[in-house]
Amino acid sequence: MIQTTAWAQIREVKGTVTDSAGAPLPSASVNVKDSKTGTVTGKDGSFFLNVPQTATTLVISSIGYETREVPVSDGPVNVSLNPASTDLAVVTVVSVGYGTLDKKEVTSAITHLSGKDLNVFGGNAVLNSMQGKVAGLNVVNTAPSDPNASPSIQLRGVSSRNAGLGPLYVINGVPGGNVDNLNQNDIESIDVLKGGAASAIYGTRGSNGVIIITTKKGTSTSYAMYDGYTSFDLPTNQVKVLSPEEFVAHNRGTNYGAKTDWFKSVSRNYAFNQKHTLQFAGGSAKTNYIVSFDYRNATGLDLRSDKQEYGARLNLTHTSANNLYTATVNIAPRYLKSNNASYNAFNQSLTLNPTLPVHDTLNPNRFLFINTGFTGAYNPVEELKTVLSGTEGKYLDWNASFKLNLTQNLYSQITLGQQSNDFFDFGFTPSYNTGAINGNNGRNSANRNYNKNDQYVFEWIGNYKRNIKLHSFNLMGGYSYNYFVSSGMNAGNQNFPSDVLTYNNLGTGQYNIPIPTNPQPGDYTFRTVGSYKNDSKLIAFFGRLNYDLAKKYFLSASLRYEGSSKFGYDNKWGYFPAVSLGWNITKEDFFPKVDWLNDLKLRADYGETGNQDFGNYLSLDTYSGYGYFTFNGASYQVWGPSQNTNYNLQWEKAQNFNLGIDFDLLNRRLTGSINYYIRTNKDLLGYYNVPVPPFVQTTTFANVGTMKNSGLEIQLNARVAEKQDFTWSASLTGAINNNKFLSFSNDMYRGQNFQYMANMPAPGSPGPSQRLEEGRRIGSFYMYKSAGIDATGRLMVYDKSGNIIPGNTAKEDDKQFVGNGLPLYSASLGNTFTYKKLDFSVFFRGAFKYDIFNTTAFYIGTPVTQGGANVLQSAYGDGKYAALTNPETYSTLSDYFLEKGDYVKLDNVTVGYNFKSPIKQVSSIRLYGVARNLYTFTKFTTGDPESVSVNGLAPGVNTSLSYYPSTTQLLIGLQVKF
Amino acid sequence: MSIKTIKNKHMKYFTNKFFIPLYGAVVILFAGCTKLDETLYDRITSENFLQTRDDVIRDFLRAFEHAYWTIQGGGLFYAQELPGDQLMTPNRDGDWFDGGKYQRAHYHTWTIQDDYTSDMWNALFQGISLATNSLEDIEAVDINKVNITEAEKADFIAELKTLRAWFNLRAFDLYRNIPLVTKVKGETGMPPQATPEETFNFIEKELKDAIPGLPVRQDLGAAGIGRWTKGGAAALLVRLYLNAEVYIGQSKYAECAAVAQDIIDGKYGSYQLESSWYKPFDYDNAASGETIYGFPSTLARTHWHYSGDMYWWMGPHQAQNFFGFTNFGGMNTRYALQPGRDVDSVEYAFSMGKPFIKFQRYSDDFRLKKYKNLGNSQREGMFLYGYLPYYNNPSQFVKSNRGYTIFARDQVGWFKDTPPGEKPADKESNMNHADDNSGIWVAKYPIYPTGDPNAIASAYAEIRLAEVYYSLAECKYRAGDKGAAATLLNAVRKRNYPAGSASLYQSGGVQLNDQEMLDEWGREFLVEGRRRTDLIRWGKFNTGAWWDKQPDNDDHTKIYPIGQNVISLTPGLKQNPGY
Repeated sequence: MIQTTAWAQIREVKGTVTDSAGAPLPSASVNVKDSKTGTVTGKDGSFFLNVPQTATTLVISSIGYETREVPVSDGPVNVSLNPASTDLAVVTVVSVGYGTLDKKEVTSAITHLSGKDLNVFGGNAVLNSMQGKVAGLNVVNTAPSDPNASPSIQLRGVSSRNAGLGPLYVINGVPGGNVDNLNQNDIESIDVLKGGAASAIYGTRGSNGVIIITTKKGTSTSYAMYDGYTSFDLPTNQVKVLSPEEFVAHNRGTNYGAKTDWFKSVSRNYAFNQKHTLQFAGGSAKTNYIVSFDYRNATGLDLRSDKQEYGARLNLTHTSANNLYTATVNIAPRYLKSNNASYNAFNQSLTLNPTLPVHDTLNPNRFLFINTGFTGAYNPVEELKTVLSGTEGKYLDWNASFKLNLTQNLYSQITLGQQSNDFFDFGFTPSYNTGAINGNNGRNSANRNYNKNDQYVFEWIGNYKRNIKLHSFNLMGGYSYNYFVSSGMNAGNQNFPSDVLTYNNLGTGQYNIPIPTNPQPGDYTFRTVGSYKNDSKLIAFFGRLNYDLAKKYFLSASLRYEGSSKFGYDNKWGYFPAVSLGWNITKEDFFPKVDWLNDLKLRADYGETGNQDFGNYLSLDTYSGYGYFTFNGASYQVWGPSQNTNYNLQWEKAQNFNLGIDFDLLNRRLTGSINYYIRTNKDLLGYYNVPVPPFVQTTTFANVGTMKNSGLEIQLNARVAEKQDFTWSASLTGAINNNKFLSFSNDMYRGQNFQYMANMPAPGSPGPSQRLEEGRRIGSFYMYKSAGIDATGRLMVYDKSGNIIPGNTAKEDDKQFVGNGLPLYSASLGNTFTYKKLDFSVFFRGAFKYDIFNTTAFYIGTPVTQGGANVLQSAYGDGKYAALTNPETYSTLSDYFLEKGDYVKLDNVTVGYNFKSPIKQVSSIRLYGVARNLYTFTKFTTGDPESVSVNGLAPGVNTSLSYYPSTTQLLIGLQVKF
Repeated sequence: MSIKTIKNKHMKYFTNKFFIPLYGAVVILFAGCTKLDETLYDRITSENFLQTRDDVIRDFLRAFEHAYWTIQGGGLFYAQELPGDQLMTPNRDGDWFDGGKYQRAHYHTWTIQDDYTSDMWNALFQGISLATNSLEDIEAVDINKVNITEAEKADFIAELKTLRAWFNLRAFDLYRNIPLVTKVKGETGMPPQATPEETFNFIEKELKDAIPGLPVRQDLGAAGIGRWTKGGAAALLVRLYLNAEVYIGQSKYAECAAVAQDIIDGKYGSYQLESSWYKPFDYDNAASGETIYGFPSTLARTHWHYSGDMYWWMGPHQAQNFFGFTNFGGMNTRYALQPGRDVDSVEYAFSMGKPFIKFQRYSDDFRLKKYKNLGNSQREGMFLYGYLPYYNNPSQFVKSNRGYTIFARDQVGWFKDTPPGEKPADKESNMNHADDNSGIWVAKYPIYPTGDPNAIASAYAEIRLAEVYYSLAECKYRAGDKGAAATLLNAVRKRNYPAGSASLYQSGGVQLNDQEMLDEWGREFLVEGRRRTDLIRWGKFNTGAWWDKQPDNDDHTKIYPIGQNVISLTPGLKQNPGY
């Protein structure tokens, strides 16, 4: 009876599902609400379904789109789905290393960025696009318009002395990933593991944080996408030197009659970038693919540098029909050819006499030979135009994994991966180069260097998941084997019969004397040949338990047992434990139900991590070749101990403690997190001074010293306005970093309680400018304290008893700590507005409370700069540097040259417009424009404060006048989806 | 199909076909993939190093190669010259100020922060440690395995001990209170400092023990350059005894004279003085009968005395064009002779220093000529002064990097473009007030032009037979035998002057007095890295006055302090008195 009624009451529903642009959506699910009845749409987005008469609502969903409910009606049901927004109500999946978690379950400090949170950056190295996006993550690129420059990345402050400071990259689950082989368009998400408990699962590589990058996967809906942009970089924040007229007027040196703007002579009008990406994706829910191709062509601001590269990335996922296994393959090849920039050419452009011509007036076909002026003067235009220097490179990264679902709750997965890169560098100086004519007897010279690096990874994990009532467990265990090998060779020769051969026929060179073993300043390199090879292994066993009770209490505990071949015989293996706890307090019954607070989670975590990013074989009793000595008329290369042995050598240890809260406020209009961390790095790796005798070398590579970083980080996202046509969202990050170098000795190694840093170069050998010293913050400037200028234009300084004395009579122990080059605060603010199809975003970024030593002003910013050299405009006039008129104190390093480094940058402005596609074959078109580094608010007087790095052990000072000009980038791009 | 049936099917499948091989794989992996030994490809450890005779020679030579470097490395050259009364490194218009380091060297006001007070220690003890390491390697070697004879092994050991004595003697001279090292492998702490007497006796014994096992010069021939011989070890005894009074408060001039006489008499091998002044320094000096110990040099390989810490930076910046030798890039103004005259060209009244005037006192000295490359590996003169024409274009003159043409003179001040003979208004002349015209430059070892087959080919003559003559002369002089002293000195000096020159000392030695003895040491051994030792032995180092230098308050500076970087690392290491 009921059945009959049911049969009788059936009805037919038809319709079409499209996306917001009107393009059909195949494979979308159409289900009757609260029933099992349902179907999927066909290729044209259409569906046909028999539903009971009682059905009132259809639920229509598709991956990547917001789910909609529509009433059942008699006519065709035509539904358009909006793309899924970044609405936090949607589950955000966070990669935590060897697995993923719902963001709500995360108990450690992890910042999740989706691909679209990244800034568009027209240049090398996609990680630039993360700049300012993650509180506590410092991305420093002092030369963004150099097409070959990569940024330095540092998380939560400096963590080591001589071992690596950069984070571990994990790309698609493979640790040690190569970020240079990434197309920004391929990035799905980036998770930054800041807390030690999260990164401890990566053991000896976790101390500097872990950045997990996941590339885009295939989709069940086919699409194709093209993205292309063109950008122009124009110099900004220029360092200004005297014009030829001013140079002559100030009697800086001989007037050779020409008027040369050396900056313009070594520069292109603009640096140029173009990049094109094509992506195809498709498949089904079980088997899908995405393949992406990109091509980039870039030129730098200097006359020589450029880079052309093309690459591809394929991701293929295959799941068996019965869900028994999933196999995935990623393959990413990339080829590049680049010519190197010359940073020294810009140094020359500052210091060269502007009355010198570029070309020899007597022989206009030839460049002018220049060897006077400032230290190391030469003709930079000639260098850029005649000296070849660059590389041809290849990357091939692939990995494959096989995941076997042993039971519904248990899976095992094996991952194999390999990353290879090889670079074939070239260099050539022709015989007509005036440097070769005057310094190398007119011999041309060429060299080629081949370097190859391979990394192999094998990982095997098992994962068991179980829910028992309110308890849920997830247990993971695994094994990891990593092998790293580097090898290479170099060859060089001189005196080739023709300059036309450049570096392509080294055998024809006629110069057959070996390289001198103690090259003197200016010594030339004769024919050279060399090769090297070294390798290392890393092996680990690891496990982790994630547990939660009613999504209210969370616990994660992990342990990694890891060893590296690099460690000394007595210290091969170490344990890296971690534990973290989370408490979603809003789920407690006692917690008052307030409208404005939707979610509040308290977290605490502790983890021990390591750092083993240092050279191979450093613990061993190695002998190597030194110079030559004669024995009975025969020349022998002598061999002797090349380092002091240290069989105790081990990883650096970091103890990481983190307290944090995550919150959702005002009905998810404001979300964010706050973290407080303390990281103590112990057994710092580095060269330590040891007594000679009995040691043969004055330093031993050893574990000595303790450094502490602590700080507060805040990250906020707000949906300020959400109207029909208008939305406004904002993001804010802020970080404070406190650093202290706690101790610099232990039972074995003692006596060196400080280390000089940032040695300043000639002329004058002013000595080091900073000290890394027990009890101090890194980046502490250690120099004389200035007491102004006396009547004769001398720089006066305070001696240790407080008397004012001329700078050139001060002694070493009159030096004091006078400032610090490490920013205390950093912050960023982003705002994104959309109005109908227009979107607009503006991003500010800044660093505060730190000093920069103005190296340029110190060397060439005063009237007493060596004659014949050009100087900064600030050397004359009323400025403080113009007052230093007495050459006696030229080399006195003092805080007179310290300036506030604080800056705020209008870093990124993006405007985009989404066109409605005029033709059926195209689903969407987006046109966008970006301006980067538009304006810098700063009191720093010479150039862009960001061209002085604040990462590393000597922040806030450049130890060379070489630099790459700061630029403003204008970019226009087009994205089309098919 | 329900989920349950799928699960059961899977379980069965895995139990039988998958899990067993899986477990097998686990066992193999865990056993095989937990090894973390390092594989070396492009380097060697001591365990597998010494396999052949050549390996032993390479190991043997390690400390020798380092020894050659130490003639100038770590400040070891300038620490012997700049505190003396001959060389200077003034602040030249901002160049060579270097935090006042060289001025403190001049004024004897160095501090333990001055890098060379640590660097010299490290350089010398690195040599001592390397020699000891090689000694330990070679003493342990199985002669049959590496195919050397017992005699060769004994020779290697004797030569290494002599070399170690040479390092020890220098460390003793500079620091006096030093540790005595006889073993380094496996050691982690520095041996305690020995008393000067213990060190003196140790060096004396090591040398005396080594002499019987060492070769003699004529057996090795010209190819023996760089090898320690009986003559070399005996000459080190001469150095030790000559300075014994300074070192241990007991004079050993009689012992010194005996050994020196034996060397001259050929008891330790056959040696002859050269007949021209430049021959001991010329490209073929490896074969010279005057070279008792020398370091072999070639243009393409090692040539430390032609480095920036030594003779290459003993000329104006562009002086390479004066020599016509452009392979090494620019020269540098680091070391020049202290002035004998003020800015108005009036000779200073003090008796010490004034090295160029001391040469001019015997005006027919061949060495006084301006240096000139004559072609075909020949040169004349030893000094650079006045205008310096380019070798390849004599109408062009060497200029300062500051733009003015160099006119080098025996004066210090700011002359810049002031023409020769004109008196500048600025009368200041001191270590902080010099330009590139200030001071006369020395080219003792020839710098032949680029392309000359013998450019940069001179061995560095660390011990010359002339030193033995001068040492013996000094012993005779101190014993009151001025006549014998004059004869010995003239035996060397006669090559500096025309035949029958009045510049030779009269027989009987009436011209000889303490000042003349010291002046003559200064002439013969100018820029050879020993002036400080000679001044100390003659008691003038702390009491003498010379250009921009007053006598010291006390004599604690006659030995150097142990530098901060050394002393802070070694608890228990006692600083030298007065620092």
